[in-house]
Amino acid sequence: MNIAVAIDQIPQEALPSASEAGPAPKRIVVAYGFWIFLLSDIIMFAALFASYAVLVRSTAGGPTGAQLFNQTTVAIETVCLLFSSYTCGLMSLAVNSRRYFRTYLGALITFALGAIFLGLEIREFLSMIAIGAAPQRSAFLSAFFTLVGCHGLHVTLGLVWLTVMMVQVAVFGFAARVQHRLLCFSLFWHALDIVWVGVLTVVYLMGVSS
Amino acid sequence: MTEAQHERAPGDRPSREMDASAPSEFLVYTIGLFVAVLLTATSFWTANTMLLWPGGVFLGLAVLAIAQMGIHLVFFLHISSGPESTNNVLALAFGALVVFVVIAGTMWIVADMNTNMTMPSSAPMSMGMQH
Amino acid sequence: MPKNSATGFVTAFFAVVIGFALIWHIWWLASVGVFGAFATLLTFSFRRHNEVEVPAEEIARFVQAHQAGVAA
Repeated sequence: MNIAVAIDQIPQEALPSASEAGPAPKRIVVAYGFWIFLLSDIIMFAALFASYAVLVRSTAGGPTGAQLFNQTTVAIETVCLLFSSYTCGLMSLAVNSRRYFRTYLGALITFALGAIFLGLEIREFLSMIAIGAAPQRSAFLSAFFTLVGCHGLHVTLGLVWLTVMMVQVAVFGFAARVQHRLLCFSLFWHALDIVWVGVLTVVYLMGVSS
Repeated sequence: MTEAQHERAPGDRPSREMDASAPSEFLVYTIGLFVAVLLTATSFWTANTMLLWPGGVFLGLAVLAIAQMGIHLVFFLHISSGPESTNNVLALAFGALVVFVVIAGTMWIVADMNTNMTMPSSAPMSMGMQH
Repeated sequence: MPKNSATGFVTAFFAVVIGFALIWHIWWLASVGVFGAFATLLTFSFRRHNEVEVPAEEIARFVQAHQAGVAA
């Protein structure tokens, strides 16, 4: 992309114009492309949010959100995911400075926190199904399981991706394409936490306070 | 690589010219985490408090959620208003526009349809079945 | 330039397997397909050389030959 930007602070003779500088470095192109994919993924989540918002009152005589949601579990899940986003950021810093031990440590803590989040969420789903609040019980529950389940599926795939990336760091070291992939992973992981902020607010907190 | 930095990848480290005056990257992440934890705690308090009327709770939760998303974008994803972030900000703005249209549009359309289905004066079929 | 790969073709094969198995509720076959597609992706991601460099002289040769052919 060659958007002409105003770079007033830098003398014009010092920099070639954006069109003369040639194509952007691969790192920027890869990350920008992945950023656009992530935005499309968030649009998909927006459609699921819209469906949930429209169906939240359709409980068909079954249990409502206020009756089902446990705020303690949700709080622990939120803290886990938030801190895993933080450790993912620290892992990115370690990758940029090419430090192996810190990268593996950051990845391990990120994975552990994400796994705890996933475990809690699966336990919540199973307990809801056990008392009869299954996805087929009501439209509200179908929308709930679809939205929150889709987010959980993304988290699962993210954990698989993280594992594969650590294997690639072990095999290839901090090669350029490994760094690009790790950059894409951290974008993905932060975006998942952003979506979770939405899920927490719209589904759990608004459900509990209505 | 010493090519001119016209662009920055989303989520990437800040540009070199800013390194001298900007806080260290570790501090940026830590501040972001701290503020996010604060916003999360405030959200939980807002949802459970008796001090606000229900509309205020809804509004407060929405504002806190948007604020926390902004904190994530700025502190974890390094989305800034600088010239190297322009492409990323434009893409994000467009994404936000589509998200808004999808959610608001769906809620408006379905609410409108819902109203049309429950008012007897606008449903000739229900009147036809009343005898 | 990216190097050629059979990944797309093999993944499409597994996608057909997944689709067929999901339609007929053959769950074991569906998981075989998913695992196969994932394994293909992994194999693709671990290859060491994923680019082919085309030197500028070769491109110049092609362009000149094409232009000579057009002129003739």
